[in-house]
Amino acid sequence: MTRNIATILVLLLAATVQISVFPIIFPLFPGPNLFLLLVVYRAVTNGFVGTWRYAVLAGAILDLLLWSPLGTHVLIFALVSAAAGSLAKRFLVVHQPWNLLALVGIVALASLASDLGLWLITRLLAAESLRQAVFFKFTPSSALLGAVSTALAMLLFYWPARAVSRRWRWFLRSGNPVPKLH
Amino acid sequence: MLKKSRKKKISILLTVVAVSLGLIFLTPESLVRPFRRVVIAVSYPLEKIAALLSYRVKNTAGFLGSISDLRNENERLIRENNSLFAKNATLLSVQKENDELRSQLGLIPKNKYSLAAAFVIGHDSERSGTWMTVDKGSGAGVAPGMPAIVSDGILAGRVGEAADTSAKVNLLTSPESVINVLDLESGAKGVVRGDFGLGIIMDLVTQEDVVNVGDTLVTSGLGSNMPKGLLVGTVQEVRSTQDKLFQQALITPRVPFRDIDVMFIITKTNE
Repeated sequence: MTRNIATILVLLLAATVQISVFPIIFPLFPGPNLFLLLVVYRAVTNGFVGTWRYAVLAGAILDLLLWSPLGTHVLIFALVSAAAGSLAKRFLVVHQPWNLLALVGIVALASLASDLGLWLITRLLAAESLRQAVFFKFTPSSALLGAVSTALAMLLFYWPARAVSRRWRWFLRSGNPVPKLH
Repeated sequence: MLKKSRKKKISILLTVVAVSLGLIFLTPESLVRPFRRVVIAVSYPLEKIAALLSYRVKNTAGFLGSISDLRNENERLIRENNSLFAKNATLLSVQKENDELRSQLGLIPKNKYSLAAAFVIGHDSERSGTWMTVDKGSGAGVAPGMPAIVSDGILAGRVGEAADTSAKVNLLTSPESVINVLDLESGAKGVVRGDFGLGIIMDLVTQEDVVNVGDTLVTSGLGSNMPKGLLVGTVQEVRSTQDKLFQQALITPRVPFRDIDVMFIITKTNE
């Protein structure tokens, strides 16, 4: 119960930063997608089976806060966490020196895939009704900048998150050891 | 064992995908609205505090960055002040003329609106640049369709959805914003709509009407809740539609929407 409340609080804090802090402080630059970052991090450390509930919850909260059709981010985060979990199994091996690069690459790819997925859903919805079709605008430059900023945020986020997950392993019930980066 | 685990993973993924697709394409917004209201109400205090702190940080950073320019700015302002004293006398007579023109055009004087001042507490983090969240909702009398203005009667958009404590404002750059406008100089009428966050387009202007670059557009008052005379923007470029039936114009808004931190929702026109 406590863990679930803590998870929701973390997601709400991430949403606050994503919606109310980044766009005000950096109005000209696409801010990092913190939700995606949290979901990918969790998928990398816990695998898809240990992440899908978290991805669904994160997606639902983001959909409700961003006024977008419910299910949009749920779908994207579920697919991204499945892909990130599989990629992490293949490429992230404990004590490999190129783990950092692989992790940043996974996050950047996840960000691009998320943007493409949102664009695709937007197009599908556009065929159905204009009302729901305007919640996402895809441009290659903003997608690339978003991927770069999310990957950079991952670099800043990784070590504090790793320290927390080590210390609070009993609380987080992390399935796999967090990959050590060099 | 591995096969079983893979099977479980695939079945979970397929279930989540199927449920998500069902939610996206089959669930009406009216069913989602109560959940949306709860989540928005819970996150509202966090968003408001975060937005206010962010504005403070942004303003402090902007102030620190501009200290070196303050001396030059001060000298410039003194010169400008002298010049404005002279202009003020002229403007008093222009104001009288303006009042007469407004009454002739049927525009509503600016003090005839009931306004709800609202802070912008959330932005579109998906970068479409088409909406903002403000800290006034249905509890403050804000309802979908109400116009949102900035400073002195400049239209920014209209309320798209309202929760109890906050509301989503669709900016003029949103395709959901469709507003009837009037060219103040030529009297041409048309409809402005957003172009997915990239700009504003005036459309459905007949070929007989004249629209010139630099003309000023105001709301024509057609359509619900939208008073006449709110400033929309200036014509930047005029072109014909592909079928040559209508003219289109690109519109430059009077305010950069990214920089808006306070809006006023017109809750009532006191006329």
